[in-house]
Amino acid sequence: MSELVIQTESLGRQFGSTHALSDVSLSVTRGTVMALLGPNGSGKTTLLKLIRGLIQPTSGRAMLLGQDGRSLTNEVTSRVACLFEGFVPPRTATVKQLLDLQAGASPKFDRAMAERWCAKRELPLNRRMWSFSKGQQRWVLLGLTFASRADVLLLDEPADGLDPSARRELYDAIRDHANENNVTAVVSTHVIGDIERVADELLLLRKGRIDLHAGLEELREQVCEVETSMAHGARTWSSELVVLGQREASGSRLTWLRAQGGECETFVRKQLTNGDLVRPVNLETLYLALTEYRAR
Amino acid sequence: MHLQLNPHSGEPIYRQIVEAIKFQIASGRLAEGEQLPSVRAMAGDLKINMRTVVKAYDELSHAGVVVLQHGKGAFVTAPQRGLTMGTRRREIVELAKRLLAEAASMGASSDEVVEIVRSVANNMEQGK
Amino acid sequence: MTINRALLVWQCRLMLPVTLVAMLVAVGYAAFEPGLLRWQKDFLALLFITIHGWWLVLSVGRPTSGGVAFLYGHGFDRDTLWKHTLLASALAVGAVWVPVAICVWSPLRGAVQSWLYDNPEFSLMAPLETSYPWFLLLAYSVWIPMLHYAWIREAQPFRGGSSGRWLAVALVVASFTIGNAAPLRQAPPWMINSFVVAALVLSGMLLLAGRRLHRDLEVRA
Repeated sequence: MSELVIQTESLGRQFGSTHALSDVSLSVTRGTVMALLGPNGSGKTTLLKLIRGLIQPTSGRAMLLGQDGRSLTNEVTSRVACLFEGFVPPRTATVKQLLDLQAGASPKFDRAMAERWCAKRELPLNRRMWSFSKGQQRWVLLGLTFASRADVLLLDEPADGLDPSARRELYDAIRDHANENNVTAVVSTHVIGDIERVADELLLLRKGRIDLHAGLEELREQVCEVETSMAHGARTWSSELVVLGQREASGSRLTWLRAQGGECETFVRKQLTNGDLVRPVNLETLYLALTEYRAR
Repeated sequence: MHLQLNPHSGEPIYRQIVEAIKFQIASGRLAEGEQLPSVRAMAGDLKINMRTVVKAYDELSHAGVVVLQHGKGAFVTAPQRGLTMGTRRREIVELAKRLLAEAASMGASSDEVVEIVRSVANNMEQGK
Repeated sequence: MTINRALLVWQCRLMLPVTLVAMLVAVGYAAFEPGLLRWQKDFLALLFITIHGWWLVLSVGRPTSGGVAFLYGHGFDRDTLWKHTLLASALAVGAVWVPVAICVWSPLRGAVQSWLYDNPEFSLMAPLETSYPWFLLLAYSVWIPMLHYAWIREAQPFRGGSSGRWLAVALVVASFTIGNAAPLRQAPPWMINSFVVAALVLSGMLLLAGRRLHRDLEVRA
């Protein structure tokens, strides 16, 4: 169960003098759905491309299904499906032609599944890509990705252009594939609410480095928000609690805390004074706490 | 059986499942001896990791709310009568304190809280 | 060597527009050109091969284009892609070259020449033109690997990317110059043979180097 599907060791990539990614060491086990978050330019796409061997590292290495990303053989590449912005089939290609290509690329390709997927959005197989909207084109590509029955999905902003119900179906499909076929998925996105629903792990990148890598359920226990009155002045917290971020709003101070290896609320409750409030923190708030209102 | 979870509340999902199932039992929608959905079915329905469901069921079994029968699944047990009067009372007092403190910080009077508790209890009774 | 039919068909389809246009132009030229078709001083042929090859490689091998990047992210490993890219390129070149060769070697060109231009010299020209298709094929065998190599070089992660481009430019200029050089109009056979050998060696080297560098190529669409 705990087979490592993706493993990187101090992986880094420079473009000229820009450090797009630095010192990323990471392990992803089989069946994990990982949310890859971070501001624009934080290295999400670079990381995904390095893992898939589409670009080369300047330091460290990336292993995918046991092979170095720099020299992946067909044995591995045929078990991986990826989706990147700009990796688009010619506009003249028909859906059927795309299915044929995918059948050649993926030994386990499930044509019936792909056809059902397209039929769900009423996309005829004989139509060319140019006749579809951006969201419909994306839907077709996602169908190929899932129907490839790949063991690993590397999806860069997969929900781009999709309407809310299509987005929901996409994330449901990611979860179902992970549950039923033990598929491992790394999904980068800016729409945090969608991925929060189905992801197991969070990888937050910041300026090309790992800012946070943790299980989402653990984070839900470990992180909480405390609202204190400004009148009480600045607060200090016991050593088990790390201040992630802070923000002042209309007379009160919001503090986001993370308990190291324990339940945040239990620690915090002992240290509250009258009028303090403690709340659970969702992923969106945690993201803002770590990016916008970061402590330090 | 469908549980209404909120994946965006920030509460651990396993705990939401535990609470939801306890509520279903308290309101009589789940009777003693009834079987909970399989881990796979529950995870598929809620679109969550199977490990999360396992953790919730373990927690429920730990609390004595369900019993896990190997290879068969999870079954609702009879309400716990094992607790002594004293322990039970202490636990409920703790919960009430927490509820009242939270409500007070939102500006609610204790009368309002009692009224809400009563109406929720009525709701539960109707479910039976 | 296993051939992935789906991939090959896909790549050939990418080159369909360029192949159709090139086929029309090339067959038209081979049929209607009233002058002697010979490899010396044939600017037009070299220019055509350069443009044709450039467009062809652009269609199937430019890793910065979305369609090509799409293939690279698509479950094929690098050597499979390289092999099929070359095979597809060869088929696409063949689709242009074979009709031209048939036109020159069959009585077709002769028929067009005598009926259209009433060209009395054609019976003398025909034997001199039999080597012409081979010259075209030789040029393609250098041009296609060279242009692929240029793009692969361009997409290398760290090494100087533009060197492939300059190599291509240098080769094109050299070929035009050699083709136009006065002493070569009456070149002895040994000289022509050594040109052929040099061209084939160059082609092989470009293919090998291309295969090696293609493994490191970066897809930046």
